[in-house]
Amino acid sequence: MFNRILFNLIQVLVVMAFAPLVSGVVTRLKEIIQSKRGPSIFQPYRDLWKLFHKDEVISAESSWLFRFTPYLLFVVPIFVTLLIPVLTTYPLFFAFMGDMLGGGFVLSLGGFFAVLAAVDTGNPYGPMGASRTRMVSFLPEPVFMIVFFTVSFVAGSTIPYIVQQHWVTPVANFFEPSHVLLMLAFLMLILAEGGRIPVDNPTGHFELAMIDESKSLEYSGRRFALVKWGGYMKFFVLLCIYHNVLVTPWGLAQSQTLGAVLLAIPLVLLKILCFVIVLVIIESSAAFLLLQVRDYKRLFAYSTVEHMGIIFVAAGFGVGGNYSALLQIIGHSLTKSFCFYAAGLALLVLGTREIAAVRGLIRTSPFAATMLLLGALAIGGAPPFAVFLSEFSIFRAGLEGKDYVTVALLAIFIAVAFFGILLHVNRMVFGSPTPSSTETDRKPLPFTCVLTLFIAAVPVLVLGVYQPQALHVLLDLAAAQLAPLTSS
Amino acid sequence: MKISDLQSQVEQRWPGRTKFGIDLASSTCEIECSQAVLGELCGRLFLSWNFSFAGLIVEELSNKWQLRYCFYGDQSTGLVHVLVEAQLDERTFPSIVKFVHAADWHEREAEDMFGLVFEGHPFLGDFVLHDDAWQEGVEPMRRSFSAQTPVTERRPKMDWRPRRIVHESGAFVMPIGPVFSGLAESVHFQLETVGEDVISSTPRLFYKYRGIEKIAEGRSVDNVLLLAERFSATTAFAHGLAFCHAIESIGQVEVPVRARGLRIFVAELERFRHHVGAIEAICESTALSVAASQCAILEEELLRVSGALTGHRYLFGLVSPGGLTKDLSDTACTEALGASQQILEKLNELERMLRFSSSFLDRLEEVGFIPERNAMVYGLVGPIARASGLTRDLRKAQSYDGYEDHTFEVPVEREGDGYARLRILFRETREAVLLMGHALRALRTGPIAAPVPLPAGAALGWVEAPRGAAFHWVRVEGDGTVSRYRISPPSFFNWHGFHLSVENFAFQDFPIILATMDLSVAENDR
Amino acid sequence: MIQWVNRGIRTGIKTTIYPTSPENAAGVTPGLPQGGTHSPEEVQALVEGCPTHAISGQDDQVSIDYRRCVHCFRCHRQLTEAFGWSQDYEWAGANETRDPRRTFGKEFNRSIYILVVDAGDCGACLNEVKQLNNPYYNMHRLGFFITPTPRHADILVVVGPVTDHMRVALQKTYEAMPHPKKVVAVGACALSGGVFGPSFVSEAGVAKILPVDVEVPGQPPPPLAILHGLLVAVGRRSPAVLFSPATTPPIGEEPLTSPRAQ
Repeated sequence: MFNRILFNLIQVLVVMAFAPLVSGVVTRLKEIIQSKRGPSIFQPYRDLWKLFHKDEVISAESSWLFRFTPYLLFVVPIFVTLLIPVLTTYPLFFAFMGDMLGGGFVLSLGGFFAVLAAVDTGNPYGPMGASRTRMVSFLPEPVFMIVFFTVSFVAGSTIPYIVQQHWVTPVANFFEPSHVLLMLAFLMLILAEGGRIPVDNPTGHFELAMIDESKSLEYSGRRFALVKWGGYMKFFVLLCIYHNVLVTPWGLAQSQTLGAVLLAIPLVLLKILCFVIVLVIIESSAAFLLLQVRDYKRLFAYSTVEHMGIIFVAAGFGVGGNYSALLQIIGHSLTKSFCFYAAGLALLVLGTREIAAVRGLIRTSPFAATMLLLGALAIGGAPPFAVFLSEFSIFRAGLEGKDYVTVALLAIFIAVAFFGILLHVNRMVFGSPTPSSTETDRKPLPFTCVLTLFIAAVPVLVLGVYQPQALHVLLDLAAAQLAPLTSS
Repeated sequence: MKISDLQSQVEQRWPGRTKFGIDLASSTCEIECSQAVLGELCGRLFLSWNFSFAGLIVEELSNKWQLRYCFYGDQSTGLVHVLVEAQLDERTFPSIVKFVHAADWHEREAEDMFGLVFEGHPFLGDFVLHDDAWQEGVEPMRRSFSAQTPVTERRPKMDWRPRRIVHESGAFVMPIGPVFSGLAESVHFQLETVGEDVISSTPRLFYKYRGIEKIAEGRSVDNVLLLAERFSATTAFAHGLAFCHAIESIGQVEVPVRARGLRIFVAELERFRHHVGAIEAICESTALSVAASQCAILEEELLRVSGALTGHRYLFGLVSPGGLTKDLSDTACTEALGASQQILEKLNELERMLRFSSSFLDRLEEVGFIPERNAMVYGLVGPIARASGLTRDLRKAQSYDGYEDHTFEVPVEREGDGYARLRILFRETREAVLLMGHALRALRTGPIAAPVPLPAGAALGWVEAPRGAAFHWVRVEGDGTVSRYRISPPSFFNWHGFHLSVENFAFQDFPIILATMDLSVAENDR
Repeated sequence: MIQWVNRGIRTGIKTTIYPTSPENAAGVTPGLPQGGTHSPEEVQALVEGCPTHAISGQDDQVSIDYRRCVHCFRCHRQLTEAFGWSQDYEWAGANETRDPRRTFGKEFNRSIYILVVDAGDCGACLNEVKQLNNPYYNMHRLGFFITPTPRHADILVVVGPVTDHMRVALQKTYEAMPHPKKVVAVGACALSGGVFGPSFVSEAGVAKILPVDVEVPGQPPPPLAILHGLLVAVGRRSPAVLFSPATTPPIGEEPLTSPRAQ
């Protein structure tokens, strides 16, 4: 028992000690790619050390919240460290205090207080950053939940140590499609929660563009050091969860000896270094994305992601689900082609891809407007188009397999996506012109475009009302082939 | 239209109300007109006859006010100065804002500086002299005001608040500046919004007002040259050159051929370096870090090339009336050209890479859009105006220093968005290096400066500065001192049109649009 | 996507090794005039010819007030060919102070956050400050970083002559910074008003408003000179000149001379 307490403490010390190093290495690598020698990898330690020797200036407008939050932000990641596997594959002394869901909530607690403290000071940039952080966090929250649920569903537990074992033995489990998707989803989550590109720019100086950074603009001296250190530790904790549970669940101490635990330290750091290299490549290659859909072609493109999700869920419903998944793949590809043609036609007519610039298309080009509307309806899953039939058969397969909860969730999410697409397209087609919308003249549409659209529309409509026997047989055969892969 | 046609047209429309003075040699025409006709005449010049507005020059002469509205057209049309005169005790003039919107800020500045009232102007006040620092009635450009005496008695409006334009419920104001961001110039923005989109943006400028025009008065021409170079040092050579043009005009000086060629060489080098800096600012604003650092490498290399060639990284102390202060040897110029060409190659490669960076283009395309009509009405100049379809470039429209002897292109785009402005910057760098090559090949041996006689007189000098058309008006007295110095810089026009680009776009686009507009506060504020 | 990373790595590291050893590339500095011995007529011509009265002379000795030099090059080009000109850049002068609130301990040696306030500068000094973290100079490797907020800042860098409208903003920014803190005035305008101040609308430099710890002369000082100034502020480099706090008198009166050691 003494060992377990000791190892838990070592775990905490490792997180506290090495968290700033991650940031130092990221900065150094990024600067090297920028042709600069770069600061020392120990620069964050020097910054923290200096900040503890600096005075604090606190706004007279702030309250106890502002003064208290840095301590909370420092303690929260330490608390979560006690719960997760950092160095060992077996639960340590304090691990009983919470599972993954508990850990997630504790991290959210820290984030909640950070947001409140940002609003507390009277500085205009604080609340702006806080509200943006909330918006950015609100989008990944459901993803977090789904990741946790999937993980616990697959591994049969919410305790990170047990979940981690699931992907170590048997090795085949590591290559489950759900696992691959989980890793990608969690990666995006880390980028969002950590305030990295493409979600936020951690090195920008313009307060108006800041999301995460503006919450700590008012802190100085010791409190700022605690906020920074807490931030480093939270990122390190997320990386530990990511690597030690999902991506590389090997290399942790199996036996309960001090030597094994100490050996795990460099291995964990090595894993994190690999991640850091990937992160630096991402951050150096992309500009900072705007989290808004402005382009209607993009709108259609993103719905593909939704459909991929539907297909995977269907595949999880057993043999009947396989059939529906395959039907959905065919229907989706035909419908998506039609949507892109319609979008292309609209671009030809309008000359702009911005949703906001287009209003009342039905008046200026009725044909393009109708095609756009039909495309939106088709991809959203309305009858009498192909996707409606395939989605319906997915629901049926799910109900047959008695997966009521999944079917309900699926229905809700599909409805949300449907209304989202339709909202934007409706405004474009029927909306009254706003001052910022461009005027479009009635241009004659090229015959080839019109012809292509009609050709593309035919199979979408046909498959929505009738399934030829040949197709039915083909899909059955294919579904049977897939059965061994997708049955759980 | 030719000047002779102009005269007949004007005299036909407003018979008896105008008096013409034409100087065919300099292609300038002065129209003295009565106040009643001023607005319509300027409107017709600006809107119908395709003249651009260069600036309003107010002068308090010994016995009268003289308001000079300068317009310029293309090479064949020349310049038109519309003059309005009045007795010194008269302070009210008609505003021409509803005919020439580009004159808006010029009139506001004249009101602050001279205390003139322009009837019909929608908003005068709190422009150059901020209402929360100065009381009404301080007219610093009046002869009676001394530039050296600090104004210790201040009665500012203590309850002054910025003007709110949006009054919807839920709308709030996001103030930014004057101290903001890591390395931004001091300027205040008043962004009004109901959420994430900027509905109205009002920049508050002149935090950096140094009173250049006032402190120039009484200084010798040599010392005013220092002011001309240093008020906006990132385009120091261009502004110094415009000032020298004005002095050369007054003294009727013929600048030697070698000096003209070298002036073109150095001016284009400055344009190249300035544009690389602007491209770097755009990459930096979109957080494409490697592209930004690559551009920063090129900018530093160009600064070093400028420093090695002329002795100063920002080209200070090189231009002077009559020519240049020191000769630049042909070998030195060839070396500089070689280095510039290598830098241009790297820049071209960067442009190719940027064209395929979709996350980068996403932030620039269809963002910060200024339609051509608005750009024309606001009198925007420079690369950002050319990105919106306006084609005027002073190097072609009112050629100087021998630019007319060289063939080069003035790039124009139609989209008017951030990406179009970026493309213009890239294309202009190519033309700049091309011009440097032309100028070097055409260099002849000879003197690099001509003597400059200085009779009393006044003239307008101009230059196509890297940010756009810049006009300097200088009046020299018999003893060789400057008695009036008026600068109409490109940023003054472009800041006026800035709000067009940011309104109705998201907050997060604001820094990027600001970077694409390539505005200088120092140049505007003087 | 990987194209940018490839490009960055292929370009290689460009950073200078200053301050470990001097940087001698062409065009890194405009240099500064040197004092020295000249004939009395030349001394007269130099003193009268300098537009900002930076040059003062006694018999045959010329001395320079570096706070006032605006790099017009007239002494170097128009007046006399033999006028000495240096091509170095370690120009910063430091103000002695015992105030513990303006003294940095060892912890600040390699971790300094800088806030830059533009109090009316022409754009050249600000641009040179911007170059401080370009790949050639990369001040991050020395532990200097830019921050937009005074709460995180240790050093306040001021450029510009301090215009009337910026005075209050500058003072408030200084007051919002926690101790210990230093003020570095960069550029001739910030030291003496340059060619602009003093006037009805701008001061003769920062020293009238804030206590200045390090002065970096030049118009503009090149990035290496500003880097030297920052290193002086942290104590990692010795200043070219050490003086007790003083303000520069307005142009027209006797200028303060701080002769450089020959």
